[in-house]
This record gives sequence, C-alpha cells and structure tokens, in this order.
Amino acid sequence: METKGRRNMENSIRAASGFIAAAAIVLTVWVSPALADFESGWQAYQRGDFAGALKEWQPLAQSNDARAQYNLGILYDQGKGVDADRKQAAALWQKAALAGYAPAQHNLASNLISGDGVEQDYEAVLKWLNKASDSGLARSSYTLGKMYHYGLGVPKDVERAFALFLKAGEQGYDRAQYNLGKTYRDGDGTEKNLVEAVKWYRKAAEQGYAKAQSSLGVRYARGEGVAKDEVQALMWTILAANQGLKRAVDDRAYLAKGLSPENVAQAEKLAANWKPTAR
Amino acid sequence: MAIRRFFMSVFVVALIGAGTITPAAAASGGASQFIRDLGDQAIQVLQTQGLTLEQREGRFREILRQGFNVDFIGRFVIGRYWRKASAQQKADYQQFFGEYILQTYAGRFGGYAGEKLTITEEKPAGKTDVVVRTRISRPSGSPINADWRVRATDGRYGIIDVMVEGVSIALTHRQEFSGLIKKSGVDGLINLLHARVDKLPATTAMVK
Repeated sequence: METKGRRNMENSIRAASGFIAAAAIVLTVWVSPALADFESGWQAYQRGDFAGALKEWQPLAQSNDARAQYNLGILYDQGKGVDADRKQAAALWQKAALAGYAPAQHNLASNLISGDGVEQDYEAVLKWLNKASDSGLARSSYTLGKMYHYGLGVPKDVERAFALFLKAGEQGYDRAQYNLGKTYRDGDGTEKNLVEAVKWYRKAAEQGYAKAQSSLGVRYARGEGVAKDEVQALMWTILAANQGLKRAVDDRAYLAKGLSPENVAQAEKLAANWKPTAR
Repeated sequence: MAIRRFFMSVFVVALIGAGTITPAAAASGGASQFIRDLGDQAIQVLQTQGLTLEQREGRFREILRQGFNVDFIGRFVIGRYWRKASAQQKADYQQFFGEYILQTYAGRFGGYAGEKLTITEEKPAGKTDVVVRTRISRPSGSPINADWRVRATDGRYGIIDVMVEGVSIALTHRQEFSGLIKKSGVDGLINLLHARVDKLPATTAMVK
C-alpha cells in the first residue's frame, strides 16, 4: 500500500517537472518497486509474519527473481505460512539454481541427497555442489568434501575431501574445521599432525560446535597436540555436554572424578562464563 | 488404522520400563508447570527485540533441547535398528537426529508473531507419563493443538513425544525412517538427516 502511494506521488512529480532532481527520483522509482517488495517480504519474515512474506515473494518468484524463489523455497520447505511441501521447495530451488544462485544450488543438492521432493541423484548433487563451491559457498565445499570422504556418487578420495574441508574451514565453517581436526588427528587425507588437529578443533570449538569442544577436551585431557591441562579439558567437555552430546556427558563425569573439588569448580566457572566467538 | 494401532501398542510397550519416576516429579500439575515454564521461556525468547529470526529460532532450539528427551525419542524412532547399529552410527545418528528434530519443531512451533500457548488439560498416560494438552494460537492463521507427552526420568521432566493435531511425531518418524533404513540402511538415514540439517537459511543478501 505504502509503496503504491509513494509510486503515485512520485509519478506525479515525474509528470510535473523536467528538473534533474526529479529525474533522479524517477530513477529511484524505476529501480525500487521490486526491491521494496522483496524487502517488505523480508521484514514480514523477520517479524514472524510468514504468510505476509509469502505474499510478497510469490509474485517476484513468478517473475524469475532468484532470491525470492530461494526464500519462497525455504517457506515451503519448513512449512512456514504455508503447508510444508518439499516438492515445491525443490522446484523453486531448481529454478534459482539454474539462474546461478549459489544458496539455491546448495539446498537443491541437499534435497537430491535426501530424496526430499526429488529423486535421489548423486550425480546431480555433485554438479550443483561443485558450482556453489566454485562460487565460494563454504557449506557447499564442506558437503562436497563429505561426498568425497564417504565416496558418495564418486570414488572415495580422502585427499580431495581434505582440500575441500580446508577451503571451507579457512572460510570459517565450523563443521569443516572440526573435520580438519579429525583428518589431522588420524592422518586421513593429509599428514598426521596433532598440533594442527588441536588448532582446527579449537577454531570450531570457539564457535560453539559441540563435537569439536568435546574433541578439544579430550586433547587437553591426554596432552596430545597441546600441554595437558585437566581444567581446560573439563571446561570444554562441560560445554559440549551442555549441548547434549552423549560422549561428552560420559567424559564429564569421568574427568570430574579425577580432579579436586576446587579444580572442578574452576572448570565449571570457566564454562559458565564462556562465550562463543562470532562467526 | 490397524497399522496405527499396532505402532501405538509398540509405542506404549517401548515407553514402559524405561526410566524411573520420582514421587515429587510425578505429583499432579508438575508436568503442566514444566510445559508452562518451557512455553514462557520460549515465548520470551521468540519476542526478544533486536535479534534476527534465525537467532531467535536458535535460542528457541536450545530451550527445546533442554525440554526434549532427544536421546530417548531418537532411539525409539529407529527401534530395533538401534541395537544393531555400530557405536559410530549411533553417535552420528543421535547428533543429526537431534539437530533435525529440534530444527523442525523450532520452525514449526516458533517464530510466529504474537504466538500464545494455552494449557488446556493434563492427563495421565500409562503408568509413567503425563500428557499435557496445549493450544498454540497465532493472530494470523488457525491455532495448533499440540499434546506433549512428558516423562520424569531421574527426577527430571522430559518431553518424549509431541502429538500435533493428534499425530505423533515419534510414530510419524518411525514409519518414515523404518522404510528408509530397509532401503538404504542406517547410513542412508544418517545421510538423509545430515542433508536435511545442512541447508542454508533464508537470506536478504544477494549471495553469489
């Protein structure tokens, strides 16, 4: 409504003047309607008015706005403001993916792995993940790394997996960093290096990734790749256990048994005051 | 219907015998209070100003994580396959199932503007559990009836199932996953869950 009103007002300005200032306004008017609709859809989405977001994005998606197709796909995938429909989500992501929109290529690949709304198709998964990874999407590089790590749709290739984890890990993706920790620990796709393992576990742990926190705790407890420090070990284990990670819950009890009450209290205090780093 | 009843009896059998119940936790009204507290926390988080929807849903997931007995639900959902799974498969499955279930239901229940949770009834279910019936209402759209099956384990309440409009999430997933495991094994299920939680969220930026 507001947009329409503004458009009318600005249309009349356009009609009434030949000044450069007015020409500048005209330019904004020509450029802004689509942006304004996308943006009001986004505002509605953020407010939790998903039906409102759907209403804004639907016409944009129909006129081939890749970003609107992508976000509309999210609404269908999660059943927000509309009944969940994975087939519709996949179809929207397919359109945006064909237009070269990397997040849509990634999410379409996810559906092609799980067979949600589309037939499972590893060949297509690899095609889309490669495109999105080439565009610099860290999550796609990581997922592609997992495909090579497990040999899904490709011959197993741990060196290739390592290189892809490294690409995503250097971009700050926590799951990739955790996997780098594991590959360095085991010498799986790269040379074994416990110091490097700790470095990568720590990067993911500091972002709050539970499995990495647990693994870092184990490194501290054993003094592998890092100086042995049982208080640090317990602190990282507590953080992982608080997120419900089973092995950390077990380790926590075991580690606490071997420590003095003062040290346990210290670790608990460190854990309580701990804050994740921003991604 | 027959299948449903069969699953229901399996479910009831599965529920009996796991975990002990303490008298304090079993006291009448306790389970409702537990759900009410969770609901209050959830609504407070979901209405926090200055956070993105993604951040609000992230915090809501943490509240659900504290309230859901994710471990129990996960084991129930894959039933007999749990015992046959390797330690690595169990760990991977529990991680991705936990993420998946929390993500799904944080998205399903939360995030809507002006949401309210009303407790309509509390009734015992079997010997060990209590079902807390709630209505989640939203200014736009019709209300959702959600029944929370709550069990006290070691003196702590935990949600072990949710029935949305009468349909159990534990049973729905059990049916979906058992077919999948038959077709592509426990590893196939792990890959599916991994792919489902690996998706990117909605965006405002033109990411290339």
